This record gives sequence, structure tokens and C-alpha cells, in this order.
Amino acid sequence: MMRWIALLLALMGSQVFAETQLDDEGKPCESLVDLSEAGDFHRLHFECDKKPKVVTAYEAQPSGASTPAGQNKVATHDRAQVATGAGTEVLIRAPLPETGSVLKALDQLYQQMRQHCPNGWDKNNEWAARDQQQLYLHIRLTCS
Amino acid sequence: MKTPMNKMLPFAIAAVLPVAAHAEGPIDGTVYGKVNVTVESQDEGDGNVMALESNASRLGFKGKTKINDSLSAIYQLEYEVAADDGDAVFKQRNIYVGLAGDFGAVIAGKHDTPTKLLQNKIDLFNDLQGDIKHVITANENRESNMVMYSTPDMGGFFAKGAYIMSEDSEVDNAMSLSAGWQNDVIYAGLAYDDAVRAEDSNVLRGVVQANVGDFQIGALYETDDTNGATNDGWMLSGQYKMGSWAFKAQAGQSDIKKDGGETFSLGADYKLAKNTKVFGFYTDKSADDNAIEGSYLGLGMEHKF
Repeated sequence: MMRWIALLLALMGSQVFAETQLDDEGKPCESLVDLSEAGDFHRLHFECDKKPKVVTAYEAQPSGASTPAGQNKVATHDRAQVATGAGTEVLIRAPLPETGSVLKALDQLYQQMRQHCPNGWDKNNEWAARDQQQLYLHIRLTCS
Repeated sequence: MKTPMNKMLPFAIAAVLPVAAHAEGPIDGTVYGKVNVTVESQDEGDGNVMALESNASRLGFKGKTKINDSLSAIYQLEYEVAADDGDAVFKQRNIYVGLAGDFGAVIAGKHDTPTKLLQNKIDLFNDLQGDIKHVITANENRESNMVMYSTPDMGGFFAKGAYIMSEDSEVDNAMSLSAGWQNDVIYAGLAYDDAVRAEDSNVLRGVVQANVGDFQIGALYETDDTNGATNDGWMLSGQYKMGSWAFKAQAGQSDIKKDGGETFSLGADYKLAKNTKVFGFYTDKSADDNAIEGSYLGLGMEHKF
């Protein structure tokens, strides 16, 4: 019973994470359904109709290329490290060692987050996946 | 099996949306919509029933084509869908084509009147049993044969004007106007309808809404002079947001729909994600001589896409 109460309290207290599109003035955009219902034609068709810019801060290993196991020297953010604007979505990654601490990978990722989003960010999601033989920790974030 | 053309139309539009067309500028089309359903315990004076309701679930297509640097063609085709029983498949909602630029936007088609649009989100139980259209007002109208002009945002000031053609030489054309002002805290406006609800009808609506921190309060007042009878109605609403929760309350009185109309609603929304929420509500409504009578307890879910 206590477990259910704890789960309910956790749900009640949790903040919903959301990727939010911003207009030119940095104000969050409502959903298209709500914009339609409001009858604000400019916001519906222009101000909140921009596809979010996505920056991928790494290049996937070309198929056929291989990275020797245990070698963590793969370039993880070899694209231009330019600061991006509010609302821009950024994909970053860092190699994860097969064994041992992940702190180095996290440190690399947070450095990249600071470089790409100097004004702050929302972390959208985090996952690990192999590219060729190397396991990478990926983060998708949206700059504030 | 014959398939009515109106049922196939949205699919046909969806099928061609990604296709390039002969136009000067880039084509931009988007499919959007929402599904909102509730399980309700309803008591309308003749016993309790359980019901599944679809609350203005809809599917829409909208887009624009740039004609030159200062002018774009815009369009929207929005249809209500009945998620509960499949009746009234693809009932028309807002449907128009128009031009937009720095001057504002001009559209032609079927659309909510400026008076309805002015209500904005003051009705916190919009499309549910507590919707103001059930008790408070008869002027939440979507009209056919409309040409509407909408100003661009001018330092917070906005205005809309619609001319509604009766397409009948014996019936006067109608007009709906609204104007208002808003900033991050205050939203306020006035609207006027002439011959929209009926040929002999004048309606004046005033709204105000304030957003202070996690609190939102709103008020609507309306006076309706239709066929020689003048009636008025009012409604107050309040909402408090706490994390993913929103707690809502609304109450009002009106003689516009029926004499002695009264309604109140209480509810809570819980956001599961940006576009998904679950919610619960209780609504009570009544009028003199039981012309309106009902109490409703509902649990529902809404997903926008």
C-alpha cells in the first residue's frame, strides 16, 4: 500500500517535461489545436509554424568503418561548436567505456551542452546506442 | 459500398499534402488535431446513465504558401470527428482560404465569429458539459459564408471583423466585430454581433482575464437583444496551476438560453506529457421550470497531435 502511495505522490510531484517551440519573442507556442481555436492566424501560420532547428553535433561512423574495441578516441563532437539560439534542438554524444566509470563521458557531454546552449537547456532524453563497435551515451536537448 | 465524398475528403487532402505544387514559394502543410473523450455519469432528471462522450475531437489540415516576401496564401480545413460512436463523421469546423501579410489576414469560408473567438480560454470547461454555450450564451457561433479580416498584433491591440452573407435576398446579412488588448498579464476585449444569432439580434460581449503567477482568473459578461427580448448573462472562472496539475472552477448565471439559467463546474487536469492530459470534472446546470437540468461527473483523456 505504501508503495502505491509513494508512486502516486511521485507522480503528483513530477513536472512534465516537454519540448517547447518558441516564437520570435521567445514566448512558448501553444499547440496547433489551441492556436486554431484562438483564431490567431499569424501565430498559427507564421510565428509558431517554424520547424525547430536541429543541430547534430557529431557524425555517425560510416558503415563499414570499425572502431577497435576499447578505443575511446572517436571524435564525439567534431562538428562546429557554435552556440545555438533558444529553441534549437541539439544532439550530442560521448563514448562510454565498456567498463569503469562513466564520469568522463558525462563530463564531455556537459561541456558540449554548455558550449551549444550557453543560456541553459532542457534535456529532452538520454540514451545509449552502439555506433559500429563503440557504445555512445547520447543526449537530446533544447537550448533555452 | 458507396462512400460519401465528405468522408473521403480529409484523406484525399492528407494524401496530397507532401506533394509539391505549382507555386512561387515553398509549400507548408501540417496535419494536426486532438482526441478528447470522457466517461461520464449523467443525471438529467430522468435517472442516472453512464456515457462515453467525444468532446469536439477533431482533425485538421493547415498550411501556407509564400506568394512573395510580403504575402502568403493560408488555408485551414478542420473537421470534428466523433470518437465515441462514429456519428457525424467529419462535421465541418473552421474551413477557409485567405491571404496574410504585414497588413493582417483576410479569410473567406466557414469560421468561428469574432465574438466567439474573443472568449479565448476564459471558459475553462470549453467543449465539456460545463461549456458556456449550454447555459450562459447563445452566441458561441461558427458561421458559413463569412469573410473575416484580422489585424496583426499592434503592441498588444487586436481586432477582427466578419461579414456574414445570408445568401437570401429576404434575410439581412450579419456582422460580427471584436477588439481587445493583451499583454503577459491582462487580456481584455469587447465584441458585438449584429444579426448573427437571428435577423433581429444584437449582442454585446465583454471579457477580461488576468494571469498572475500560477493563478488565472477570467470573467465574461454578455447582453443579448434578440427578437425584442433583452437578457444578460455572466460567468467567472479561476484556475490554479501546481506542477503538472491544474485545478479549475467556474460558475455563472444567465437568462439568454433559458430563464434562470445557472451552472457551476469544478475540475482538475493532470498533464501526462506536453500534449496529453487526463482530467476529471463535476458540472451542475439548471434553469427555471427545469428547462435545463443536469449533473455530470466525468473522467477523461485528451491527446493533441
